[in-house]
Amino acid sequence: MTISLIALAILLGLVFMRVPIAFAMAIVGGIGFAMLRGWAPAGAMVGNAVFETGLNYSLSVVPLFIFMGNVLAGSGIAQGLFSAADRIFGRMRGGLAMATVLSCGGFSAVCGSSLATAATMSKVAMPSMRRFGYSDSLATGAIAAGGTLGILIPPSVVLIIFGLLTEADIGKLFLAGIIPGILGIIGYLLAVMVAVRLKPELAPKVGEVHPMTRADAISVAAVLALFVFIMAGIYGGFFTPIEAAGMGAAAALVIAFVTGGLSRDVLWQAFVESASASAMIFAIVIGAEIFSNFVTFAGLPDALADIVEDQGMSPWLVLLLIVAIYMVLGCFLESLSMILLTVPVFYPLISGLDFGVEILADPDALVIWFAIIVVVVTEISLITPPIGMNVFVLRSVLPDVSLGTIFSGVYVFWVADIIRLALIIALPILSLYLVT
Amino acid sequence: MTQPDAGGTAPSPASSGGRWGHRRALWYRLLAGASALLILALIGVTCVDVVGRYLFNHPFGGAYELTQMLLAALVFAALPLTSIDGGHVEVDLALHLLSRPVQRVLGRLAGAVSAVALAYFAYRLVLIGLDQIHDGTRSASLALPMAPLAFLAAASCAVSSVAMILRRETQ
Repeated sequence: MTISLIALAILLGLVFMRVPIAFAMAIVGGIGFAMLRGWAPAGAMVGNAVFETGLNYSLSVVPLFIFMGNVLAGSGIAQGLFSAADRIFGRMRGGLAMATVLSCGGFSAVCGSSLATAATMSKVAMPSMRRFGYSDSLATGAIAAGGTLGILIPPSVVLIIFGLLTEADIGKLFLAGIIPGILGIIGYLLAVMVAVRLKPELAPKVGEVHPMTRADAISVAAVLALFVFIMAGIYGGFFTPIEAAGMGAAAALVIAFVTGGLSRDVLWQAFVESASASAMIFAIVIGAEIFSNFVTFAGLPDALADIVEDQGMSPWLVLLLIVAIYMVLGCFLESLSMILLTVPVFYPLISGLDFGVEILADPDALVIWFAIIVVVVTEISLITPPIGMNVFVLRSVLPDVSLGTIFSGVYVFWVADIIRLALIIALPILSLYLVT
Repeated sequence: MTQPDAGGTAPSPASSGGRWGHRRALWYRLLAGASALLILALIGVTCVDVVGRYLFNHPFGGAYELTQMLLAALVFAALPLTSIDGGHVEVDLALHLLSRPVQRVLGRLAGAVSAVALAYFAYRLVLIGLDQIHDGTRSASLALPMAPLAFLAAASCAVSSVAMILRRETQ
């Protein structure tokens, strides 16, 4: 236990010295493993982690789902979603912010990444909100928060990785994410309403409302069709959730060419960015694999289980402590590394607990519920200071808005998230209704 | 915290020179082109497999293995691109408190530390490749030799290691 904690401290130290998180994990994990077991086994472990991660069939979803999202982002579909959502809320105060939230949710349904959702929607929604005199804080807050929906609403790269770590059914994990995702959209819409009620100066009275154009309708139809294609393909047994990524990417290319929104430059860009983002993610997976091997070998999961047993802690208390740990870690770690590092430690602990709730007696149901909780906590970490990744994405897309402004706009959404997290923990049925 | 790149948001390479000048280099464009082809191949393999299975009742037997190998090739082809772009996720938050020269030194140091890790990866991958040549390791169903993939991975990590040292300061 002590050696694991020391290693974690060194890891955080390296990360704060700007060593990329992937290599920081690999170095600390590799050296730690070598100290426990010797250099030769450690070297072999490191080599295998690098090579086998590249060959991991299930991880083929990473480049393909990212590519799917990039193709759609480049084809102007996000713009159509945003204008369509604006028809619904256009007449209300804060309507554009609400349209942002809804179109983020819609884009999440064809994109597996929160950062990509936030980045895409910021390019689409921010200019409109600025033009109509929205405050930067509300505008960026809505985009940063809406973007987090990307990892909860299927398809989701994070849910797939959770499935790989725990051997949970990825198809069921996707289904489980739908209701909490919709709850997230509703929560964020209410957050906008509350924000403009408390501070009317955040948003102008009424924007003009245009009728829906044909391009908007096509975008909405394309997103719906793709989402239905992926989900129906998975649940109809036509293809596996892993194959869904390849099929979805092919369908996205077809949609982009049919609607004619994709130029050659943008397509090339989609290829290069997808490849580059995938390599970045694989580096993190490799680093986390090495670090997890070390932590597991050092006996951290067993030590934690012993503590829980010795103290006779209530399962709910354990869960709340884990959530608290995630909230703290989420302030410092990037979301994927956080999940890769913690799930192998916490999942064995949670799976051994009896929550005394009938629906959670089934181990499959328990892991799915835990997955959704972890993803929602991770979403929250994406907008929590000091290191909310989504906030930093916005900062890089909109260099003239300060971090403080974005964080000041995000807090109402953060409160909505905390309420949603409490609901999801208290009512496991929200995550499990579609699964059972 | 830095990376907006997870999913296609990096600044356009069209803005020539400066931070993105290296994107016009031949090696960069070659690796990018290879990555694009590999993504297309991954999509193609899945489509042929799924469509063949239902329409012609004839699944494409080696799809699983081919996907694995194409994926590994893609990841290792793209790793040098990410490394030279400064695309790895890193935290630069605490550094804003420090002076610019100190930041620059730390950035160089972090790049060097990463380069050491990548060089070690390359070394271990060469050992894996040599082992595979020695044992004549081939994939299970398509009987493709595995060693070339290990050497490709080793070369990728070696190039990435150099890229981490050469990369430009991002701020």
